[in-house]
Amino acid sequence: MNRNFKFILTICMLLAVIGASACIGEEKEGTAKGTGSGESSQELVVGISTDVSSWYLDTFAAGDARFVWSQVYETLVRLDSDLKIIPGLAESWETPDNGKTWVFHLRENVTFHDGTPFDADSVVFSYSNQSYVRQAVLKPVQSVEALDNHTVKFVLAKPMPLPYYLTHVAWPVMGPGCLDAEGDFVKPVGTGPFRFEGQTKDQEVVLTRNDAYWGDKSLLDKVTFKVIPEATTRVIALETGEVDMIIKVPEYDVQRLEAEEGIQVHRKLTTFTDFLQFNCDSSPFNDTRVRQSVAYAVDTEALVNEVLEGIGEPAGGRPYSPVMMYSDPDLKTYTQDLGKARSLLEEAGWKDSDGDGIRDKDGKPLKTTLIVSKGVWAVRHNPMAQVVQGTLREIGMDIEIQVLDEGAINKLESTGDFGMILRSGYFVWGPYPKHFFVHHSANPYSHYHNETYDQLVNAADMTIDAQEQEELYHSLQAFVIEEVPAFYLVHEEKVVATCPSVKGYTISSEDPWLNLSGVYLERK
Amino acid sequence: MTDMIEKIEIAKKACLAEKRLNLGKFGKNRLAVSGLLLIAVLCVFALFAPEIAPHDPFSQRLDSRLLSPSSEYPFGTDELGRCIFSRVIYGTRISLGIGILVVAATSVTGTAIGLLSGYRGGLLDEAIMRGVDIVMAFPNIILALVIAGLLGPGFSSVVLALALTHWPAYARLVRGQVLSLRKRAFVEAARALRPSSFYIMRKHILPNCIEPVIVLGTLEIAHVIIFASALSFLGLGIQPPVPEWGSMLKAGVPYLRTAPHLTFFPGLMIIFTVFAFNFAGDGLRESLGQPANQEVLAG
Amino acid sequence: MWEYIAKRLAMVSVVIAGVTLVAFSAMYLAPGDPAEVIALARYGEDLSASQVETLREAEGLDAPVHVQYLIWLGHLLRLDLGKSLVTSEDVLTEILQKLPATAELAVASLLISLMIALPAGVLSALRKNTLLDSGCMFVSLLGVSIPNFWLGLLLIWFFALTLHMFPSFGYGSLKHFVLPALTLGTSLAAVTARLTRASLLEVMGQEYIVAARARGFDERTVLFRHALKNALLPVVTFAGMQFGYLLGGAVVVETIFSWPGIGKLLVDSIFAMDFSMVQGCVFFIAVLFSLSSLVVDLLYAVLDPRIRYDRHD
Repeated sequence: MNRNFKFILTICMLLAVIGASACIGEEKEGTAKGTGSGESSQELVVGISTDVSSWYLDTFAAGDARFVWSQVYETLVRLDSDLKIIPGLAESWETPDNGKTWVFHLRENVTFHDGTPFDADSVVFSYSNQSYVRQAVLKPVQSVEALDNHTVKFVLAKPMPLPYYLTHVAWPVMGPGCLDAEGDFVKPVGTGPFRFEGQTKDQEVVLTRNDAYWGDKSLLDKVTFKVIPEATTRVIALETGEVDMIIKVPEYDVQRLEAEEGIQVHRKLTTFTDFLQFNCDSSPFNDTRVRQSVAYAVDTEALVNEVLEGIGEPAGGRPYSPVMMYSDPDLKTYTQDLGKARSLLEEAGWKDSDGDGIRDKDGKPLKTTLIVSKGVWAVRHNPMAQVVQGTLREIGMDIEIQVLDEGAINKLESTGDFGMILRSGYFVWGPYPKHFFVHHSANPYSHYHNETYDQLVNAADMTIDAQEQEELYHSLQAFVIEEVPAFYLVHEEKVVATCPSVKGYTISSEDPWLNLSGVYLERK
Repeated sequence: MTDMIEKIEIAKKACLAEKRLNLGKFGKNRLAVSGLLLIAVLCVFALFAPEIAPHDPFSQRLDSRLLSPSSEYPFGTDELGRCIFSRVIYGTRISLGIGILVVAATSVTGTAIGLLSGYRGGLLDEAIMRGVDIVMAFPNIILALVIAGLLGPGFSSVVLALALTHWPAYARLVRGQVLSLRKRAFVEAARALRPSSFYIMRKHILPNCIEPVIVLGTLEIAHVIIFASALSFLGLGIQPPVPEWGSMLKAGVPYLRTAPHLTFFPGLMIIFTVFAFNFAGDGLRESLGQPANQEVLAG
Repeated sequence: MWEYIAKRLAMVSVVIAGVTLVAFSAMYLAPGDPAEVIALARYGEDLSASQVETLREAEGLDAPVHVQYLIWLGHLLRLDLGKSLVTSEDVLTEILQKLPATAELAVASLLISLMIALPAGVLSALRKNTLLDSGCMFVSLLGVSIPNFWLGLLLIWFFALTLHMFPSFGYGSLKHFVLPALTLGTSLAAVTARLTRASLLEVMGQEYIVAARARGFDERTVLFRHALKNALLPVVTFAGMQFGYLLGGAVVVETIFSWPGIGKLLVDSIFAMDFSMVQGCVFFIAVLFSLSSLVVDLLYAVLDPRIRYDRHD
């Protein structure tokens, strides 16, 4: 054998050895994780679709970040798994002047993960002028001040049911210890059942149990969130056992997972509702009858049963998810009636004069655009949009689907260069129907201007009398059904899947939220 | 004078005899012929799609979703109840269309640029080659991604993104050819007779560059089709409901395990098309006498 | 020799300058509005036009294009690629964090593809026109024609789920490399195999091989001592040059396997319209690519003296 041959052979053998050792060795790691660390190990691995890109209160926690935030941070006001308001970091609250001032009495003997006490100053810190929540969401808040160590006062410009707004985990209470001496963010400091341990960018976030938690301590020692953007891979990871739990199970996998032995699929209706937002400022949707014809044409039952494999509930125009506050159970919703849809279009002057299947009026065809988002939250929107397109084609409307990213969509929204946008969970931050603001004329993106609507929304948001609020919100719902500034399609169901070792998980209607209290592992 | 021209022509033929396309050799290559036949079939699909497809590729039947292949639906139905066979047939138009459009655009521009650069030489050549280097400095998909991402999804942005990134290969190829041809005697003689560069480029040089360009183009069509499907997978290519194979493949991925026929058939079409163009291209190359180790993995 | 190196370096500098122009144009020619992107990330859905304008001024986005370009160039020379529009993190830091993962994946893919392609190509050439030859070439063509995202998912399904041999996602152990590298390396392996076959066949037909046989060396010596070395050199060089292609293919593979690399960073940034990240990534990758081709070219020149004097011809 000469040199060359030996050289090549050595290389090949070396590579083969490396390859083989990778395969044979580490059998315990990789595919069957957890078994090596002993039976008492309570370490949960959860698969999510995006990384946590920010931990601080100056930006909105986008994507799946809030599932992680909900373990580390807490809010003043909380919700139970059926969305009833319960005390959080604030034990009680009252408003002495019908909603313009709110006083919160904070829970005592609570400490942050770094040992500093939770007190009124930290609340003031979390709701400071620089925070995202003050800049974008709670604009009417004029001041936040500490009355004493455990009492905080919020002063508003107009009356508002403030506690309802404070339930969302995107604006929790953070400890001032998260900043260093120069005021730069160092690491997350919250009060939650888990503390931040470490993060590898775009791969995983590791949390460990907070043994000083004020509530029921978690049964888990450690929670690792693994970032797996591709939905198909995420489901496979659950099935191979590489993760114990996945959030946001794609609809098409639900049936198969439910049939699979051991895997448990948890489902619950949430507060999010997909809807078609109309551009009511310009043709053709500036005519109420055209909007109503869309409402009569689109079969939301078929959308849920066929396209979404039965996940979710058909809305038929109902703007509130049934689990939302003040949702009217007696509201009359739309069912598909193509005949009615067609006659409404005829009434509005859209007739097919040239026999090409598309209606027209004054020489212009009934053609418009339907914008769909590209984001991770909108994977199912594409087939939904196609169905809407197909149905509207049947009644003579020509729809062009455009799939764009959020930035481009916002741009089109502001210029008014669209016909419909398919949205989900827009402005929804809890069970309180704040998202009615979407159609208020003060919203620069609403493209809907109706005085009655504005008045109703203003009145409903400014009163704190529950009875009055209920009546007003019922009227608002009826209004939306009648005038259709947007057509609400599907009430979303949250789907979480767990592997056989996960016990004690109770799914909550709150989204995005992950409730891990009571969860423990029983590995065989 | 005229016999001088005639002598130039003879010299040219003699010099380049080995580069003549040998159709006989092509015909004997069974793979190449089958490739050509397959391409012909695809063209038939594309041209006569309305006659061949049993159903409307856009019509949704929500009660017949995800059906397995049957006599009514030869390839089954997809997630919205559309006939996959019909969609695949119509998809031929789009996928082939993208392939042909992009290759036509890039080969013409690339050839022109390569001709200019190689023949003129000097500073112009250097400048153009640096331009080529700049475009080639970006891995193809990165630049195409950025362009398609900025222009938004859709047919024209896919074509544009691919066209803007794939022309350098032709430019380099043609330039190489031109440089070697330039030194040949007959070109020198021709220049002595009629100094107009354009004429010389057109009459003498161009015809001898065309064949390698054709070979490259054939192979590139296959490559472009795969590339377009990758763009679709990333959400930047053709969007549903338009039936493009790559986009159908992507839409079928969620159902990979429950209804594999959604991915299988569009994927198969892509594979067949790539095979076809590769066989034909290889056949062309062999009968051209070109050495096979000039393979271009135009990544 | 030095003249050649100097010449190449000069060319590369020009190319890199051009690359900066192209990379910068990405931000300027895009239909989106960078000021709005930043504002959206910071203030969420409840945007007001005045917020966008204040931001625009603050970030210097209202200056004329060439001024912005020069400013960007200036930052570039100080190795400052700016900050992400969405997360406000340093672009260069993020790129450098993600680069190792992609580079490792590319190297692994290269290795795997060579491991498959070289033996396959050599065998095919030696057993030319037999079933083995046709089989190998068929499989290699298959490798080129399967869209790699489909292949990747099929591999996950088969090897991760059904056989439980490899993890389906992530980055960490050597095992995590296998499926992604296989997916990425497949089409490269295919082409390399065919190239190896063609190259070896050509070399085997050359005069010095015939001469070696005539001198009485047995087939194996002829093969390994004379033929292989010459045949494999262009093949390995070619494969090395495909680094750029691998970087590109990594984009899709990284998405499927949740591989924390630059490709995925780029795709995510494009979708988020994070222009400075896109600019930074594109610039970085292009420069990396140019420099690596330069290195390969120089190496080739060192190894093969014929090249040094006759570039680009």
